[in-house]
Amino acid sequence: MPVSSPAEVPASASVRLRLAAIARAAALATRGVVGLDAGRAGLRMTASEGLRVDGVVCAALSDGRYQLSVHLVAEVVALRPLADAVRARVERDVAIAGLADRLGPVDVAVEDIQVRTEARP
Amino acid sequence: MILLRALVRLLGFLLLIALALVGLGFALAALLGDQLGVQLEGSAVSRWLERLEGNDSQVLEAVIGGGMVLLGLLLLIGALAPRRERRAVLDQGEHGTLDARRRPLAQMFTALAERTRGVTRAKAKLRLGRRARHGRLVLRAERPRTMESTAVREAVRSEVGELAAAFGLKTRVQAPLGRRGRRVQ
Repeated sequence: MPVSSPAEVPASASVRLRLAAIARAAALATRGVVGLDAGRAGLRMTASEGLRVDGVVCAALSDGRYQLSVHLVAEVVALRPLADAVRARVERDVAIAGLADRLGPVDVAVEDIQVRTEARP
Repeated sequence: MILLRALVRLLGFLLLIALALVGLGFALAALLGDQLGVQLEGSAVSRWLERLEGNDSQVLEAVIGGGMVLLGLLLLIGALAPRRERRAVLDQGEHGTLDARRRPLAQMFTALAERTRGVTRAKAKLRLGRRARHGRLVLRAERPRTMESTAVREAVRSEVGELAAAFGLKTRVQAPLGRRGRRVQ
């Protein structure tokens, strides 16, 4: 079942799934992010205990932390500030959830760009 | 994997030609064998087939057959293995990586160029190198007669330059005259 909000993930769920859900919500709340992309085959996701977070891949690292890869669809904006904003928001929300020590690097992958077509006079 | 792909292409091409020629030869032999004086009986092929049916040792044939099976498997792997998508890397560090797929990045360059004053239509072609932060960007920005080519090229270059430099792309901007009827920004 796809998860659209961290509130849908039970507290007993795995850290991996909780981190992915937080990252997804944080990325979607960032200005310049239009959506997340799970890929054509839907493989860019994190699944656990029957729940699925699309567009975020959460992988365990050897030091006990988790690496997050956020695959997003962006507007035509400066990409570096966008990635910084996504990372900052993810780090903040993860800290609020009490999982700051489990968070590793956050990769930002721009999978698509949504170009706004303005009507010409 | 790159060598394997090149081998697949070369061998595939050569094998297709060989197969076509053999097929043509057999077709001609079947249709016009009598007129052309082609007879399989008593030929080297016929003797070889007879030897295969016999009880002699066939080590050479076994080695050739095994080799062909191995070659076939390698060709299948080379043809069917999925290609790894090249991505344009903007940042790579301890805090994580920022990268983008080629197509949306080209779209972004197109959109930026089309926003430039004096451009009626733009098209970006992006080729990414094997190494990170290496690639080539060719931007074709069409302009009306009223605009100078140099001015449009400079304007487009300044619009996309920062982003292209961030991705380590070598940029070339062309500014040909656009078709009639296209409207300027």
